[in-house]
Amino acid sequence: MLRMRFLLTLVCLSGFPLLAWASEKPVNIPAVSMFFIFVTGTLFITWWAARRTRTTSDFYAAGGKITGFQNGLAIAGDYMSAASFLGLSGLIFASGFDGIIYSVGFLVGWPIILFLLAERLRNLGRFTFADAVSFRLQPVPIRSLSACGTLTVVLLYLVAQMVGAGKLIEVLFGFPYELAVAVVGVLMILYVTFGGMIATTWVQIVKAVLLLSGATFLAFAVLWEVDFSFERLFRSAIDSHSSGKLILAPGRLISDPISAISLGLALMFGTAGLPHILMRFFTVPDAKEARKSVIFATGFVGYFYSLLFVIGFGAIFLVGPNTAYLDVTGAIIGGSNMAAVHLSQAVGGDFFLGFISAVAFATILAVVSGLTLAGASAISHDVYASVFCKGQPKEGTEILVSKVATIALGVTAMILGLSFENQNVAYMVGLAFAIAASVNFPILFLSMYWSGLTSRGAFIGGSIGLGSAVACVITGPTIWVGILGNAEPIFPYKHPALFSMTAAFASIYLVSIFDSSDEAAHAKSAFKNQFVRSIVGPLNSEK
Amino acid sequence: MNTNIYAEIAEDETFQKLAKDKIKFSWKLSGLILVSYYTFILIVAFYPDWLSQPLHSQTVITWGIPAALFLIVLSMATTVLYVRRCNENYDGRMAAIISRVEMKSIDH
Repeated sequence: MLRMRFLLTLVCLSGFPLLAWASEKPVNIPAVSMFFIFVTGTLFITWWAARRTRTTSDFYAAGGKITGFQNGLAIAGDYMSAASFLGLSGLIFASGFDGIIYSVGFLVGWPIILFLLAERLRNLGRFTFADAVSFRLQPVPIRSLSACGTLTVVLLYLVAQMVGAGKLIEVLFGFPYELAVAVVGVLMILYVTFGGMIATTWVQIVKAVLLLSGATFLAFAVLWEVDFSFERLFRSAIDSHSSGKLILAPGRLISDPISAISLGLALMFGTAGLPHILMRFFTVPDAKEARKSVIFATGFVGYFYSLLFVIGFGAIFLVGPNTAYLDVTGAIIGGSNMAAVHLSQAVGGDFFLGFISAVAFATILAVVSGLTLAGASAISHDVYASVFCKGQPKEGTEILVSKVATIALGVTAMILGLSFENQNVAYMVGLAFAIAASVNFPILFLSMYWSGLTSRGAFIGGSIGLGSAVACVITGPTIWVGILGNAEPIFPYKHPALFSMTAAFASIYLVSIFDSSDEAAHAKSAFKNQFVRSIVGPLNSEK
Repeated sequence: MNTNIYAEIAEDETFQKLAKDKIKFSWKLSGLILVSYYTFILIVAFYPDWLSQPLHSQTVITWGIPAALFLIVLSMATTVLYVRRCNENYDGRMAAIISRVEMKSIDH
């Protein structure tokens, strides 16, 4: 074991000369050093976690030993992803108030999760949210569908993170984008394969603390520049932005009422359908700690988003007009996603730039690990163990399948990351939310709240939700016109959630009420038991 | 034996009252969030000018900013309210019901 630690340190240190050689810019020493300190630290955490991961429960759910506070930090960490930190601040930088609309949407789903889902989820499931959904329903169709929903959301989200990471490293170190994507992919595979949920949770916690500190300092520095007057903050932003006063009002990004409502639905209910977030509810020992997690998470995230407002607007006048950060066309270097990074240098010099970049990179690594674990567990726990092995997998094989799935997911994410190099990160995450809201959320919510739900209804309706969300996105303006180059989009709106969610709920309802099979009768009669269990939790007589 | 205990609890009147109270409270808070948030969204969709009005003539800060901040604070406040109600009220009642039903089943 000591030899492995030694080897790891060697690998990390040898990165320095490699970095200098591959870099096309003068190497930013503080940034690079902090970067390596962090990566080494997280590899150490992974090694420590690997020693403590013995059972399947450890691998998926950290043995259920995470406390509410720790989990709240971890969940907040998952949520304060690169798409949040870089993407949202970038969105505020570019479009002002529209970025705020996104932020608020991302936050308000949390109370809903707390009031309606968190405790019941913890009481009904063990490792994945599909456990809870399939509690009284047939496992094969339901788990397969959940796995599809999970993988779609995970891949979209992963690609967004990969793009963010690639761009960040490219801007910071001058690395080629492809190499950056490869580095992220390899590291994330290591974290998950060796450390499972314990590693991803603790990496997430460490990163959350660093990110909150860094963002606090950044916001503080911005406010310092305007003598802590919000009036001056906004005036300076207005004076420096090409749209002037319009940035303090909604309008540019959300072009019509339908899109506004659709986006609102996706952000709020998508949160309640994100597989890697839902999975964190199983790492705590009981429903009460699950509840505590949400309170802490909501608090941290709310505070963080408030900071982002200041950071985003601050970047408008501290980065926007500064030619050091603009390329020859006058656009910001690295795209709007890099606004916060440039801002950190503007207020804190190279040292703070290094810190923020390392933290941003840490953020990406931590989130992609959580995502990959969620995706891998959908494959190993939902599909392999529950569907193929009918719930009785041979000891040790489930984890093995997880690890193989992790590698496959990592490679897929890298390939996709290369294809989606220039998309806006926040938009891609918004899409992941729309799909989560159209598949995972409806089946989870209805299975817990509606006695009339049947397996057939959930399966067909959920599939329609997934299919319609994906179809709307592909035939919508962003892909059909923007990427595929057609003249007119088939589906006119950028945000499909309103339609795909309606389609999902409507078809789930219709198929269920017309379902008169034996299975349907069984599902309906089992509701009462499930209901009690969801409120009371597993009882001693069952353990 | 296992499902019997849940069935027994289901029949228990105190449990039914507790479940109803907790669910009603959850939905009330959810409703508050939903109404506030979707009012905001609908204003963004149909009356964006309302949000672009400055707070008063001496400022550039628009109504949109405090509106957004209100939603953030509301989110945090409601979570605190919910957890407090659970800690002070529902959890205790639940524990009492469980121990009562488990005692009964041990006697059998």
